[in-house]
Amino acid sequence: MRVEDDLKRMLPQAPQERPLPQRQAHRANLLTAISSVRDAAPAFSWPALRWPTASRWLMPASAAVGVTAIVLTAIALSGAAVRQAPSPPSGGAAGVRHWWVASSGLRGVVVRANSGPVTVAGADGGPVAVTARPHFHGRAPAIYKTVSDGVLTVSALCPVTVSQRPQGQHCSVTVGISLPRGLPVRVSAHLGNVSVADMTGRVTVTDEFGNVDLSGLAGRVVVMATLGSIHGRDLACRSVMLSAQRGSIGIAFVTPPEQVVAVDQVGSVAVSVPPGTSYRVQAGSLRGKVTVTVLRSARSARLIRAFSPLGNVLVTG
Amino acid sequence: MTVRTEPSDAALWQASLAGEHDAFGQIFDRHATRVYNYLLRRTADWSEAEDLTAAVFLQAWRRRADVELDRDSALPWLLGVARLTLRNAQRATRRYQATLLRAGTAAVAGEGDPADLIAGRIDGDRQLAALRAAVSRLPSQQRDVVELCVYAGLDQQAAAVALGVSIGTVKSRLHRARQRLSAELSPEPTARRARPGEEL
Repeated sequence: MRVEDDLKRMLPQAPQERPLPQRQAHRANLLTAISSVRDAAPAFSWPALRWPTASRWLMPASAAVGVTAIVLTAIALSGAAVRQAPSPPSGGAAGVRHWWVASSGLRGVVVRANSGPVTVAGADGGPVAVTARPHFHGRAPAIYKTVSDGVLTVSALCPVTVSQRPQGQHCSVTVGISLPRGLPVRVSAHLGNVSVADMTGRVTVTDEFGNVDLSGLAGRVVVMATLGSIHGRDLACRSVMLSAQRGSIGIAFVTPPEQVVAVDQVGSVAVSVPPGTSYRVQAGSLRGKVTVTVLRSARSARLIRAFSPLGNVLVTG
Repeated sequence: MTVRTEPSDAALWQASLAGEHDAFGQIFDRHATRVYNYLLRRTADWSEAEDLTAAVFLQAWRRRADVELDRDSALPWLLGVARLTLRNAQRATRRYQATLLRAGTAAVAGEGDPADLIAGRIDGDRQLAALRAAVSRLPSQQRDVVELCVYAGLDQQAAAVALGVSIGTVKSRLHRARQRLSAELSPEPTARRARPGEEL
């Protein structure tokens, strides 16, 4: 028997291999990145330059010329500093964008924002109202909307995000959207909190660095947060799937859900459901404390799965 | 009848060396999943593995002149780059993000549906945690070779390319890993026998 086979028997099984998430996006980013990379090993290198040695009698003269040049440069620079330096463009109230899009032909709304908070609020009807308020110093953000195949896409993209500001530049865009509450909405955020309230349509949120706050939702909800936390209250959803890596997850329902999946990697998980209904509960943690007070029934059609390898897990009802 | 064959890794790499970005994109398509899963097993962190995958391929592009193909496959060498990238993971990720910014690309999540990812994540987390705990009992050199030969599915020759060592070294590290693990799994040598009528 091969050594590898022996080792396979001794070691735990690895999870099934799965595809790289968002492969197309990563591919596009990679190709953009490599197009800007200069090759490490240039095909041609210049020969080293060697200055001709000067005669000994020239040294005092060249030193005097050097000192004079330094003094003149310093005088010129100080004069320039007195003059008003041109400041890079900044965004004020004039940069605020407002759009109203008729919702009759729409089947969904997508928001793409890489820096700044996003607020989505459901309304009884009417158009989709969008407000994008840029705050920047230096390069301006790209703020635009498109409607394609019945999907309104609002993009607010900064060339430089707050966490990676070179030379004092910064940029963020505060996006607020009001839309009919039954319309499905997807928010892809990078740096900034996302808040979604009063929706009955499907809600999908991915956020890299910010927190996600959900309230008054009744449709299917899927949220992935990388560094931030996920908090939800007054939820009346049938199906909720939440995933966080570093932050915590805390959700509270006002009606019994049919399926809750809440998985965290480091933070704690807390799921609160109304009392009086039994659930099939799969709750676990490797290092944290697991507390389940909800009514449990292995035959229940309602399922709660809550897991965090390192954090505490609490399921109450 | 026309038979369409996929270009080999060697052909794609040759084109990449000539500066063809799309050829490198095909290399990415072909091997990104294996590199991602390797990094996932090593880090047990979904998002870090995802970020590092992109950083590994950027590093591979920078070092593409140094590639060593193994029987026309670039995968072992790419896993070797991934192993080295892991040593300085934070710096590699920051470097990739900085390159994206310089190129004017805004980092925004894609359009895929994350629901399936979340569903599979609970069981995956359990398995990854158990795997890490088991493999971490080995010294780092044995851990590297176990990860490549047992979990990544490379044979010993390919693992040698990935690690930059000889096949003999791979063999001896595998044997030592087996000895170490079987010593840990075997019962205590000092355990005494039960006396008649006694339960231990």
